[in-house]
Formats: sequence, structure tokens, C-alpha cells
Amino acid sequence: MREETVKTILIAAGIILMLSFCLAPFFFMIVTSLSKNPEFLSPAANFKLTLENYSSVIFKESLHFIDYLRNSIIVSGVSAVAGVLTAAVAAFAITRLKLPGKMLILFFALAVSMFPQISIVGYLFKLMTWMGWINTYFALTFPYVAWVLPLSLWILTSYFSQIPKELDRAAYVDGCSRLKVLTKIIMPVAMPAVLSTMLLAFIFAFNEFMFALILTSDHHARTVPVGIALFQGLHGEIPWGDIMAASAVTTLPVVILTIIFQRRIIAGLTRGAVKG
Amino acid sequence: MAGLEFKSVYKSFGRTVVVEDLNLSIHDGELFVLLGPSGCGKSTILRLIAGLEYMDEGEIVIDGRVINNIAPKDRNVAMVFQNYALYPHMTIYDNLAFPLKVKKVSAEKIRGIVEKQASLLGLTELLERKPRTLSGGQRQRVALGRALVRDPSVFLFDEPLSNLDAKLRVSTRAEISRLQRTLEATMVYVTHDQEEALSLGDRIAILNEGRIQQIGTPEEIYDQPRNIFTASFVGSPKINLLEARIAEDRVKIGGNSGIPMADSWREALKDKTTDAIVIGIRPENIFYERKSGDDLAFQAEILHTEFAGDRHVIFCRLGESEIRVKSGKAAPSAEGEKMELFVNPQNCLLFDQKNEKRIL
Repeated sequence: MREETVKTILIAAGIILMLSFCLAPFFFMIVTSLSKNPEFLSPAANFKLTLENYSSVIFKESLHFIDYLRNSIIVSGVSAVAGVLTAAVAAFAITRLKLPGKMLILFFALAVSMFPQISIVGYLFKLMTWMGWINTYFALTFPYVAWVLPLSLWILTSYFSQIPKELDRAAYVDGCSRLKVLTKIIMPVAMPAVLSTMLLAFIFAFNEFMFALILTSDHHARTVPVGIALFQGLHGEIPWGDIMAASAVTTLPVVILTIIFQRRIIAGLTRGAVKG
Repeated sequence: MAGLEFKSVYKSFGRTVVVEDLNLSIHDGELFVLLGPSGCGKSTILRLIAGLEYMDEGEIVIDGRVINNIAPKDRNVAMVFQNYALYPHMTIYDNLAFPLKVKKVSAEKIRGIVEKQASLLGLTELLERKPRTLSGGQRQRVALGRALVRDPSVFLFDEPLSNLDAKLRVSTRAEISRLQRTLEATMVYVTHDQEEALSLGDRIAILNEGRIQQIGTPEEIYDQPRNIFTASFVGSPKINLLEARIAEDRVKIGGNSGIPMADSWREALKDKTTDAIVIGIRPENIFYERKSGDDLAFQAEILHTEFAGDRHVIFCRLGESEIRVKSGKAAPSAEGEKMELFVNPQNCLLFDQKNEKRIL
């Protein structure tokens, strides 16, 4: 065999191994969600295709799955947009203005983001109770904005610092104020980074479990991860079919967002720089 | 259009002094070149005019108005950058229209101005394209156009030709020169390229380490440099600078017996206490044969020869120093051989070795 062929085969084998390792749980999730009998793996039962699980999570009101999904999308969406816009203004200040202790701010943000969630959730619960926000969107949105901020700040700072300063200078000379430089030049130029950061922040908030578990109490504000986890308490047994169907539906918004943004993100990454 | 004046301007970044006691007056309708090596403060001066940096002390006056505390957007200056600084997310049309849009000029008016300017610069075909699809020369024309749509009181150029290839550089240079004459615009042009400065400038200021070394017309700068820095910065190949010692009627260069003293030199050095001087001779002023009776003659060893198209550049050794000769086609002798060279004392510049100022 030629060296090239061997290489190709090895690479292909590697890819297949990696993909099956990553995607096996998803495959298991999809198969279980479509199966009439959750224990289809045992030799006694056969796999029977059904959409019952899906129809039950979507239409059975007692499960409140659609409420959870709506809560999740609203809370995560608002948190992602607010968090990234705040981070963009901060990143602009850090990369563009004469600011003492820039690095201190960045590292402080990083340090704060490293606190284990469990260490602050107790106080957060007291705070939200005192403000009367328990079981509302506010109780989740504010901590989430703070939670996605450090990551967004670091990504955007590194991206903004790559945008040539001469673009700013040109814009100032052309008659822009600082705010206009940010909104008309830096943000549009950095749009791919802003969008991909928003997507990341959205996924972060969407997957969050701990805050959502403690700070919400029912379907008025509870998010999907917590909702699905609590499915099992509803009946005597663990409803694997419902859980898997709900999980499958939950991945949809993230997948859809990724597909929509992907084209813009990649277009942005390959876009020519200023110099030529 | 307007004149521009600096009154004892100081600027430093941290402890580094970038601009020191700058006094400069640029006339209305003049193309003024700031020439100097990188880090001499020339770009900082440009940014001070634009308001992108603020000075520590002093005053800048445009058209009788002190602009120290005026924001960049209200200074009505236009700037062209080395890397073009076109807005990558906008079409060429939007790039050209941007300064006007910011000023809230009406859309129809903008269209008129932009289209006129685009046709003047040959950009009409490109208006719907994005900057990344353009060549370097086209991009620089767009940057030029963006400055022109504004009708600013002063144009600032920050090494606008450095990213272009040699051929484009010459043609764009001609275009800027033509524009300046038709618009009678005040332009401040920063470059480190002495050839660009000499060919483009009405007047030139030579800068080094934040201080002006000399201000003058290109001819003055080239023929009558005030100090060694100016003499060596302008001209290519570089001026020959020979450290010399005056001894009776000869000028000793290194350990060499040196060259005979000319009468005019004796006259100029009469009142000087120093005997350590530097002789500056432009390479094109050294000849292979005697041109006139009072020429000074000296022996030098040929090191190597470079072909420069119209002439040869010959590198020779005279004592400890290397000298460059560029006055004829083909060398009269081969490498390693001694040859006799002639120079007229009138074409020599004498500098004081200690304070580096020109004596004659």
C-alpha cells in the first residue's frame, strides 16, 4: 500500500472514532425518544418506532415542556444580547481608551468567572428573595448577564485589538464621536465575532442548571435543563422516553442558531483584512 | 483652505519626549513635507493636527483659530493613512459618502459629490464593490477620494505611498502633486522617503528625535544642509562624510596623507578653534578626471562597483573611510586598483565634528 493511502485510511478511521465518541449519546437520545419501549436495549423488548414521546412533551400541558422552552429561549436570548453588548462597550474601552489598569480589569473579570457557582448561589437566592424576583425572568437574566460577561469580554477584547487603530483614527477625522466609532465602525467590522460570542453566550445560558434550579420554582420561569431533570419526579418511574424527546427538541434552537450564524461567522473569518 | 501654525508644541509619551519645542508655520496652499526616520515624531505631529493626540504644551493654530481643545470631528481636516484605513464593511460608495453622512448632508447632495469625485479619480466602476476586492492602488485612490469629498481646510498624509509598489508610487505621487496644484490645498505630508520628499514638497522640514533639524525648499535642503544629520538623510547614494583633521595646508583623513587644503576652506576655518572637521561630498560630485584648475585630487582604492542604470556607483576606500562615487558610466579601473579622484572644493560641505553643524 502506498503511504498516501495509509494516511487517508488512518485519518478517516480517526475521524470516525471521534465522531462516534461524540455523537453516540445523541444517537442514543434520538433512538430512545423514538422508541415505544425505553428499555429497547434489553433482549426481551423490541424497538418499535413511535412519535408518542414527542407528542406528549409538546402537547401534554402537565409536563409544561413548552413553557420551559419558551422561558429558556427568552432568558438566554436576552442574557446573550445584553451580556455581549455590555462586553462590547467594555472591550472598546479596554482596547481603545487610555485607561489605567486595563489588564487588571481583564484579569479581575477572569478571576470572578472562576468562582464556583455553588459558592454564590446561596447569597443570590437571598438577594433575589429580598428583591422579590424569585421565579421571574429577572432572577435568571441578571446573573446570566454577569455570568457570560467575562467570557464575552475576553473574546471581544482580543478581536477588537486586532482591528487596526487607523480605522478609528480615520473615523474620528471623518467626523465621528466615540460612540459613533463604536457603533458605526468597530461593531460592524467585528460583527462576526460579536455574533459568534452571542451564540456562545446563548448556549452558556441555555445550558445553565444551578442558578435555574435554585432561583425558579415552577413553569413561570423554570428553564429547560431544570425542567427535564424534574420530569422524573412527576411520575413514579423515570420517563426516559419523555426525557429524551424533550432533550432532542431542546437541542433544536441551538442547532438552528448555529446553522444560521455559521455562514456569517465563516464569512467574517475569511474576510480580507484592511491592509492589502 | 488655511495656513497652519505650531507654537512651542511639546508632546511626550510617558518619559519619551516625542515632539520638543516645535515651532513651525505652514503657509496656505502649500505642500509641506515632514521628513525623518521612523520614531522621529513626524506621525505624532500629524496626529496632533488631526486631534488624535493631545499636546502637552503649546498651541496649534489653523486659519487663526487655536484648535487645542477642539475635537477631531470639528477640526475639518482630512487624513489619508498608510494602510488606507478604508471601512471594510462598507462599499466604496459608502466609504466615500461616510464623512458626509456623519455630517448629515442630504442623500442627493452626497450622491452628487461622491459621483463627481469618483469620476475624477476613476473609481466610478468600483463604487458598488467592497474594499477587499480592490488592488492597493485603487484602495489608496479611494482613501484619497474620501479625503477630497470633505473639502477640508487641511489635508494630512501619513506615508500614503509606503504600501504601494514602486511604479504605482511614482504615479500616485504625481497625482497628489497635481491635485494639490489644482485645489491649491494646504497639505501636510509625512514620509521617511527622502526622494518622495524632494520631488513632492514645496518646503520640507527634516525631523530627528522630535526636533526640527532644518526647514527649507528641497533645493536648500539638498544643497545647503545645516548639519550632518540633514546632509546624510537626504540624497541617494548617501553623502560621503569624511572625518578629517586640519594640519597646516593639508586635510588629513584617517591615517592618510589626506587632500590639499582649498583657499575657501582656509578662509572659512580661520575663526574656528576646532581642527576636527567632517567633509561632506555628494557622490555625484566626485569625478574621475580633472574638471577645473582648482580641483582637489586624491588617491583611493576601488572596493567594488554597482550598476545603477544611468551610472555606476563605485565604492572606494580612502584611509579608514569608504566613499561612494556616482559620476560616470563604467569605472575607469578594476577592483582593488588605486585610482585618482577629483573634487571641486566648491562642492564640498564642511561640518564641525563636535556640534555637527555646517561651517561651509
